[in-house]
Amino acid sequence: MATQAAAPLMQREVFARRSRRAGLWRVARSKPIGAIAALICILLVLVAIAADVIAPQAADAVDPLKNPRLQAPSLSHPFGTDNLFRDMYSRTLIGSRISLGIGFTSVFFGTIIGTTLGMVAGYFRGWVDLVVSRAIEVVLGFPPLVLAVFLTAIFLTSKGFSWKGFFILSLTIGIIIAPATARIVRGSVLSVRNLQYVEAAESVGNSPLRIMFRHVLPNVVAPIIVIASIQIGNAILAEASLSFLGLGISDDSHPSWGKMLQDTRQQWHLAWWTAFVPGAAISIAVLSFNLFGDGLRDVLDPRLRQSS
Amino acid sequence: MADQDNYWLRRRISRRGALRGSALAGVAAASYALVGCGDDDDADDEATPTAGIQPTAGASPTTAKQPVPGGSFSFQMPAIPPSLDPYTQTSFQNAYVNGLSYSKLLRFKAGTPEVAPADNSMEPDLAKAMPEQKDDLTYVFTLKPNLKFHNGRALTSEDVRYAFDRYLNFDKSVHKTGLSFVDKIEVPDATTVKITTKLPYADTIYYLGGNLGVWISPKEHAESADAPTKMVGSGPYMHTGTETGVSLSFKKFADYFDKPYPYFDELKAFGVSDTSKRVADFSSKQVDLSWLFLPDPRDQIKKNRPDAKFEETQGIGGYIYLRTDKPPFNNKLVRQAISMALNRQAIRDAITKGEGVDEQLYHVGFPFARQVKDLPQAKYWQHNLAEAKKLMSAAGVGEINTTWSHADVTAYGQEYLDTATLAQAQLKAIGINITDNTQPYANYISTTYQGNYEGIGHSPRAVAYWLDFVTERFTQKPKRGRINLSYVTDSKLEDLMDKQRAQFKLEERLQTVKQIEEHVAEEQYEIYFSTDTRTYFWNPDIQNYRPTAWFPYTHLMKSWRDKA
Repeated sequence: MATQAAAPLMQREVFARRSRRAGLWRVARSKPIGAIAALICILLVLVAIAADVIAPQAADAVDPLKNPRLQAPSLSHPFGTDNLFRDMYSRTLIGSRISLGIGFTSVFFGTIIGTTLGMVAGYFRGWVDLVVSRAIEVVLGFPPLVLAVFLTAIFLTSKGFSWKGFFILSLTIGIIIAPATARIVRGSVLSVRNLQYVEAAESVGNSPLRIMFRHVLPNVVAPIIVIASIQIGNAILAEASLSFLGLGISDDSHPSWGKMLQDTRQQWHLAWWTAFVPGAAISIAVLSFNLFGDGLRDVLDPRLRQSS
Repeated sequence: MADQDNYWLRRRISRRGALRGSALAGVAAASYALVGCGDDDDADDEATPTAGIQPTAGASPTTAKQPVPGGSFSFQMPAIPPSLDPYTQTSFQNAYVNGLSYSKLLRFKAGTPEVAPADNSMEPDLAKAMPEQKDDLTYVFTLKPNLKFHNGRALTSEDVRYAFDRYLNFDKSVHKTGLSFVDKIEVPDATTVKITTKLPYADTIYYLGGNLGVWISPKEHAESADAPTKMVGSGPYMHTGTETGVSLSFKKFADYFDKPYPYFDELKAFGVSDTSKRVADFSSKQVDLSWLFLPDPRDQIKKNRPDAKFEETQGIGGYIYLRTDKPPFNNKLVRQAISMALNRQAIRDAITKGEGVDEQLYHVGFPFARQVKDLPQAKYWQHNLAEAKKLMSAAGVGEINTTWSHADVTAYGQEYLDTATLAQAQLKAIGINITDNTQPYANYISTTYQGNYEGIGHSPRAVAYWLDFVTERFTQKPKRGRINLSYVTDSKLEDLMDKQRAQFKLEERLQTVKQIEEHVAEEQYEIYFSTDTRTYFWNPDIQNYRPTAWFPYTHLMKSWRDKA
């Protein structure tokens, strides 16, 4: 009896799984670039997680015998070696940890800050919206890199890698990318704010906080996800820029792609791979996350979904 | 209008299209790079065979051309000094520009073709002639006539007395230890300065005329709020302006006492810490003189500017100092192990294309100093990990966790940081785990370089122009010398330093120098890297100029531009 009752349930489960897979395949076929970008993003994340395991050498391994100076890419050194007898393949893999780690953490902070500001501004409107929007515009008025340099110079007082430095740098970049998120969220909240179910929730006496998190936020989460995924690319670029300028948290044993560029900039004219490899890594990561975010937006946008 | 709107709408590229396009372009560029470039045939990555130290460059014939006054001249230096007050600064960056605006009793002769770059001979500056020496303790200088400061006031012996007094007694002066050999300054009249030393000091002349000698700044300026930001002296050039962190501007001082100098009407000093930018600026003829290029950028400039004049001078690649007053570096075996763990040849291969040789306390380029290989303690310079580990084991220390403090790239260049990176990695092999402590230059020079550090410190080293430089490095008298960065307390070394200081006969003195050489080599109080070659480049129309191994740039006053 139980088995007979379970059978339709299992069939429904299998059917649901098959439907999800078929749905995913349909989406991938309709958005091939987004799908490829998504795969690359997943690959980058996996590489960053497993970097310590898959890298053949430590990031700061200096070995003149094993890693001849400025050797061009070869089978033994797929990305070549740098001027300090280090394997660039290992450094690129391990460098993905800081680059992507800061990228994701910055976006996490930026999304939290931006979403909060956007929700507050969009929900309460009036003078609250006025104040928050003006504050956002002040931040947006600064060139992002200049602001990042300014903030890191003040708050990041120690050089080299530390978790405290990781947190501060992520928060700094998060503050810079938060306004873009806040604007998107504010716009979405303004359009949801006047819907009837929100009014109904208000009329039964729900607190603004409850309404924002129970009724408004779930309906604006799609654009938040999209902007967050796009912002990852910007955050990676910001970290690379700061590291290149010597303002990041990376050091020899915790390199980042930007630091790899800084370390070797006097060798670029002699060894093209010392510029190309970290530059390509940054470009691929930024492009992939941007294209992934684009694809995600198309998938999550109901208007575009209907038309396709 | 509608048609135009449609046209521009049609021509707009969507964001998605732009991303797709850039992705394709990126792939195309990557393919080109991979296929078109292939192996790097242009890279000159074979180390230049080490031919040993270059012989100290000899004198060249004096130019026979007539000086042509006028025009302007620009040069680059690694950075603009954070403060321009000579009383509170000892940085080499200050010494460069001090020589333009300030004067001393004596100055280096070098800087023109007839004097070799490392010739440390002195000539009179404010003094009319070299001093009279009645005995080993007394030096009497007569000042030149018609000396004036840039503010118009006459310079007298009282100003010289004031400057010495400030150097010795001002609470913020960083020169007290260096000048501690001076007992008193007397000024019997407006043009006579009598210096009495506490004990016979064979290097009095060199110290007074050298980088750290007493630059004469008038009291009304030295004690003003402008002292850190403006230079007012009696030198050939008046400081006219500063772009913070970018450049210093100077103009000719019409009342300069040493006629017919200077020749240029204007000078501009650019602070450029980035070697690539210095290469680019000189290659594109934006400056007349740039210097201190290591072999890689040197070869680049030679390719870009085959017309430029250049000269290679021997420099010193740097050293590390350690807290020898505390464990674990108070143990000689640990210090010797560190020296043996370093692979100096590999560092040279990475940074100077293999050029240079191992360095010791006394710069091996001096004719009297021995090459490291000729020292009885030469084994401590040999890269030998097995021996180094044995020494560590004999010292009874396991793993060491310590800090390595040094300035950032803006102070001394990328090669200095690269040396630290390589050395730190090499020391890991013998169980010394280093936390790198990179500091902004202003922090470094005022803290670590004043002895406020733990573990290990790292500094470049200039070629010393006076033999008694060892005292500043290692003395405990009267209190720890500023440059006794290794906190050395060694009575045998102290006695040897006292002895050589009073030996006016060079042959006798060099015997004592040899003993100091060997003692310090055995103790490894400081651990030295290698010599390096530093090249100066200047425009071909600049006449009567030659690089010097010394910092003050007073000699620029003797150069001119050949307008013909």
